[in-house]
Amino acid sequence: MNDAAMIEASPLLALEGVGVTRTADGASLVEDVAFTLGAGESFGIVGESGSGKSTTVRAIIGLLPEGLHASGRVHFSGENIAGMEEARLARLRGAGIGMVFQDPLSALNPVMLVGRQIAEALRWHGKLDPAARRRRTIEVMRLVGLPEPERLAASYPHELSGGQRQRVALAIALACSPRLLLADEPTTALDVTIQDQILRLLDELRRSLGMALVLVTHDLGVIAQICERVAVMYAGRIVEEAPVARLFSAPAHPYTRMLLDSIPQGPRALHPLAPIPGRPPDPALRPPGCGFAPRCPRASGACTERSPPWRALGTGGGFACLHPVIAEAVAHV
Amino acid sequence: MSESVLEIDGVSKHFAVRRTPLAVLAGRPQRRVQAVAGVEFSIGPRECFGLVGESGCGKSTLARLALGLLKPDAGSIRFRGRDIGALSGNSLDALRRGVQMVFQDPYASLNPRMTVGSAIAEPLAWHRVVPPADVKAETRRLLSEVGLGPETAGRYPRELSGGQRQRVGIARSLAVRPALLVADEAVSALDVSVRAQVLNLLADLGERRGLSMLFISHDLGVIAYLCARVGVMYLGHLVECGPVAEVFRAPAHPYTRALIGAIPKPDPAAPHPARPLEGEPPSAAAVPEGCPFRTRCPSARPICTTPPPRIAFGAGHWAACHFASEIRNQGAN
Repeated sequence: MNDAAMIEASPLLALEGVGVTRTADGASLVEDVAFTLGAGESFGIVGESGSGKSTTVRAIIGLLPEGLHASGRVHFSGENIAGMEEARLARLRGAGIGMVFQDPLSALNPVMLVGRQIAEALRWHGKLDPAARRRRTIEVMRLVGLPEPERLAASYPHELSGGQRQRVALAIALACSPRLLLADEPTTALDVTIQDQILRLLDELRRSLGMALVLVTHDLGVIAQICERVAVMYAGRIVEEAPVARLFSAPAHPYTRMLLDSIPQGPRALHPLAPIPGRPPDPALRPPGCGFAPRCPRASGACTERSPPWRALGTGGGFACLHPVIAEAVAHV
Repeated sequence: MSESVLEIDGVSKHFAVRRTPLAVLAGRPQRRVQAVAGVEFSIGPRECFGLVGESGCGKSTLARLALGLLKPDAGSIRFRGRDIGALSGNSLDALRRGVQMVFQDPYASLNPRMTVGSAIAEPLAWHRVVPPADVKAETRRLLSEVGLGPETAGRYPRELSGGQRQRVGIARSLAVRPALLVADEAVSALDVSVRAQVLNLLADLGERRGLSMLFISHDLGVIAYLCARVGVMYLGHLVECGPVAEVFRAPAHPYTRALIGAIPKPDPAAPHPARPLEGEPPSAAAVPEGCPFRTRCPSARPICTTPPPRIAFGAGHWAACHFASEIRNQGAN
């Protein structure tokens, strides 16, 4: 737990010991995830496939696929929403917590006009009379930068480009002015110039609306651009959490360091990549102890015996490693 | 540069848009999509040439043209000096051996019911690369060349990870000892740590086997890592071409400049352009007259409705823009 966050008034979102298991075989996909988020803050979760990052955000809002079971506590605005009955959670989704996913097409109804879908979100949450809903629909479409909202409101999702669809999905998520937006790889399917537009939009909206953001991505570049704090996940656990500047300048966990070293920074002759050997473990067959130990050049016998304890850093965040890369990082403990 | 391995010379390709029967009866004109328009570049022996652009820019069409899977409407494509449009029979067979493809998703290109060993042995036997008695040994050798153990030969594609499948795809392409590898988004589906492994593998293979490569990607970072020269495509046009270092240091086309600026950099302190590139690329069925980029270009002026000249800067660096010299003097963002 982050000490600074506990001193402040209660955070907007706090996860404690969140785990997700697969009911069929009891495999644990996410283990002991904890972080807090203040109002208006932006928090990134970065990791590779199978790290549990998407499963973690879905667990926050009770949207796990069939066959997965969540445990632990999720406090939103001081209330434990983990295990809350579906009817109450459904009201919370959208009104308190908005969501956008990688593929907006799967979130949109293909046979309903997009304007109607935005208005529907407002109606579902019992907001406003029909005329006010129409006004709010156009207003929120303008907010997400959709050109000619009156005309676009009367189109179907398939008539829009990928970037426009993601803006519509964002408009639906923002219609009821949520205090927290969960965004799972929202720009991964988009072209780089469109990704840039959507990332800037998310950042502007967060600042202007005072809305907190949890952004899940595999792309450390995206994290660097719009997140204030970041958690790195590996094999179902958070292995490091840090203010974004520290993560990039002085990562403590060997996995974070090696992940940064896997990003091309120029021609091979000048900046040769030193890839991490092997590949992430199947979540169901995770080794005992530190999940990264089998690929870690710094691992010792102790690493495979038990999960390394969380070590908090005075500068915020912390890491779970017995042999951190940065000696100075440990000096702060 | 000595004799080119691949020469793309003024190549254009259009596709007819399917008309509804009603449109045919109403006598509406056949619409055509311009996928590739007057593209020109060449790849020398042992050279890795990168082609970058966003969805729909025509880069994958260009890959299929280079493989001889599509015929150009105009211009010519020469492989080792011979026009591939004029090939048939044995010489077409030789082309198929000389130019091999590496796909984005090797899962889709591997037969799920065929073991990895048989998948690699098939082209070896079909093209009689080695005597039948040596096929097994050659399969093992190819597996080891791409960093896979001999036990992989008995596995099925579904038993492999994405990175391993991509290695099998590369081994299969190398089986017939090609001179040119066409890689279309070959590392785009891979996780960061695995992507670094495959990038190094491709670079090593290129050096060891003296391969030429046409490396197509939406990711300028991986192109800068692997390639010596790069071509930038927008709406079917090659808008800039040159040595990677030059193009990055002093992009001369406004689109290249915007593309470089839009990449999320893994550095929170990296400068970010004040404004994103606005709008989205127009449809390839309605490419603007003159410069294809002018509808989104922040520097566009009335003259841009006329075809832009190709302005050269030495060392093979050129850009097709009326204001290329001006843009180039601004340096990278």
